[in-house]
Amino acid sequence: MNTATLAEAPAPDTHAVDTHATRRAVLALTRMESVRLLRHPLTVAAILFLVGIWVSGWFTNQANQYPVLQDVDRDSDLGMMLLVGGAALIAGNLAVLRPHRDGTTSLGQILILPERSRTIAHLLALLPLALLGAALIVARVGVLAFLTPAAGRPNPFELAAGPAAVLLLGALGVLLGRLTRSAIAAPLALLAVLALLVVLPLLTSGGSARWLQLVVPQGDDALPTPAPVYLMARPAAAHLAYLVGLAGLFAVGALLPTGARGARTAVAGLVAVACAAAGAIVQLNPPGPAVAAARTAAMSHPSQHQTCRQLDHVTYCAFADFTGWIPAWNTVVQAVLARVPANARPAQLTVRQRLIVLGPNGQVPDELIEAWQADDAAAGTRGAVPVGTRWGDSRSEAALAAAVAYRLVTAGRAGDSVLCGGAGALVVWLAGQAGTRAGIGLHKLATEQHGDAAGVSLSPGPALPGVDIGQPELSVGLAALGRPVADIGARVQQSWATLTAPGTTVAQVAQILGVPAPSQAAAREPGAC
Amino acid sequence: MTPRTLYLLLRPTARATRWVPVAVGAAVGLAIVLVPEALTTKLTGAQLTDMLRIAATCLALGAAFLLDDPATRSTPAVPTSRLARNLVRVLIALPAMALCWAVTLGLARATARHPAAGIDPAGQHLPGAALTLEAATLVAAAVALAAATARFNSDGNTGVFTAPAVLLLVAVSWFLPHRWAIVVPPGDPQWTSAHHRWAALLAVALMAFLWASHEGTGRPARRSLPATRPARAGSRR
Repeated sequence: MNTATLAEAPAPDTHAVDTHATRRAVLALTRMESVRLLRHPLTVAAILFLVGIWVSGWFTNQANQYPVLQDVDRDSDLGMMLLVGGAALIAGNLAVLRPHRDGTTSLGQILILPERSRTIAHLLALLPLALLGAALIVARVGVLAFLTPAAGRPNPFELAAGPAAVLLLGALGVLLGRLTRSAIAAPLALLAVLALLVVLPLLTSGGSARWLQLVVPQGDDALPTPAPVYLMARPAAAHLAYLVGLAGLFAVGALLPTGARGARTAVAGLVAVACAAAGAIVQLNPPGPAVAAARTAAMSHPSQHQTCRQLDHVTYCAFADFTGWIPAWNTVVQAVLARVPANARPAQLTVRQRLIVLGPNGQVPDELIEAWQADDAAAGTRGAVPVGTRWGDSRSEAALAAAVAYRLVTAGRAGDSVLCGGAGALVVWLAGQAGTRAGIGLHKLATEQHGDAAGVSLSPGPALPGVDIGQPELSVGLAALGRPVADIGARVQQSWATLTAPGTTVAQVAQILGVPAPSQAAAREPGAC
Repeated sequence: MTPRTLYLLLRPTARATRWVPVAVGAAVGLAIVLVPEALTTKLTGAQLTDMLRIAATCLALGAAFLLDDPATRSTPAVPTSRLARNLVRVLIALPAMALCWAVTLGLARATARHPAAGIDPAGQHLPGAALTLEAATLVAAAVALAAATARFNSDGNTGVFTAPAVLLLVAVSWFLPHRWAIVVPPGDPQWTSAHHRWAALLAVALMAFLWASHEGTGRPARRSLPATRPARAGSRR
């Protein structure tokens, strides 16, 4: 054919002009393909879906009201990879297969632009989608950072991992398109990636090998609750290099079947391998002893690492990232204090944030309570009330209110954390009336632990010691919560000394508060008391 | 349409059907279930259920290509209705897919070996019937989508549109709020009601398949072909 001859015959221009023209043609094709990729129904649906999940999470997930940004960043990556990355994988693959689908493969042979350059254009067309993904993640974290009392700060490398995963999956789609003409390969590859998300954490047993996954949504096994930024020790930068290296490898792999064998392809391949290997090796190193030492110090001697602030005669000590939550804590604490007679309020009340670092087998360290007492004594804040590193959910509020109530009712007496008799019922009422959310949290905890005859345990977080209350005390406290707050409040103010006396029984408290006493059977139930 | 016509259709349809996607989907699904079980003993019942759900999605992706027909431009002229043609295709593929699913489920049960066997040996409690219902719904949804795509598509490449649509449906099903959840772990209080929803969805998918396979009347394409009589006569081969 004449056209084929024309394409094969070199133009009389110089080589430089030729390269320039090819580059312009590649860029023009990239522009067209990137617009098609962005406007692809699958991409649009994936982005709308992702944004929908994020926005609905704002309303339904209470933890989003007080987000911890160093946890939000990696949480964004998973949805970004599965939805936008999945769209890039399938839409990128379909774009490469378009000539085959439309029966125009032979027409492509006579175009000026060789298949290699068209593949480069397909790969470059992924960049705008990755940029859009980055913009979405930054927008999400930005909204949470500026519109909510968020704690901590996001890790930029962690934020970049999502868009890098989009690039990687898009390059995989282009590679699959060059290897096979079947359109089922890309969707199946996405499902395989999904299966890997379940299997790899099992295979690696939480070790550092889990960083070989594309995104690592799991937190550190040693940190059951959010931790300050300086204790995170996630190899996010190395992981980003690993992802970019893998994306480069896939891109080079997509170019090989098109006959790209030049020095530039070899160099690109070597750089990609080096990048992926270096990232993989660095991220496989477990965190050093310095991190473990810093974590132990933050757990056992929090006073040396915290900032304290006084608000309404109460001192709040928190890790630097979490000081923004102090006003919210204060609302709950003041709601409990308001129900206590003025002469029963302690001269000095401290609320101190606690962090638990689990041992290698998930065990809580021994003698932690003693370490905390010694630390509080050294800092001059004896009997500090604990609060966790999670906030905004109803359980956390109920737990803080209960801890404050426990401190006030026992007047700082050292003793068992199991509260029996009148004091237990009083703590339940004080915690439940501290706010709408605290009340909801108390009822949730009571319902969840209903099968436990021991009653309810109000703990500020997993593995953190909390206040344990027996079943009869719980039922009297909940019954009192069903009555008008002003009425019960007046009775509490009047009979505070009797209610908090160690010998007061549940039946006496029920009589004082004017609620039905627990049945004899309930009172005899074997439990915490 | 007589049974004899259907019988005559069987062999040519079996030869014209694209079996590779069905086979590849089934194989990848089987691998997704078996490879993790071979590599680790820590797979719990809930995780194994998720793996089987992914395998069912792989099977549904294969089914998405079932109605692909490169000769689709010529079929409006044939006397056999679209419903009959689609039904024959699905009926031919159904035993093969059912067999693949049965093998996947059977091997998953046979090889399950969760160490916490004291209370919940994963294999014993693997809810096979419920998962089969989920897989059947996914396959029915894929075929219904393929039939719907075939109505609006003139080149016969229905799988290209249907497969991403199936994945999108699956993504939506996984992220549904808990009140309407259909993908729930075994032992969840919602398990039974979720499977009532799956059954309802299966009925909807089957009805959608029948509707989408119905031969439409007054299609725009016919109006634009007033002078096709000679061409049609010429294209009869």
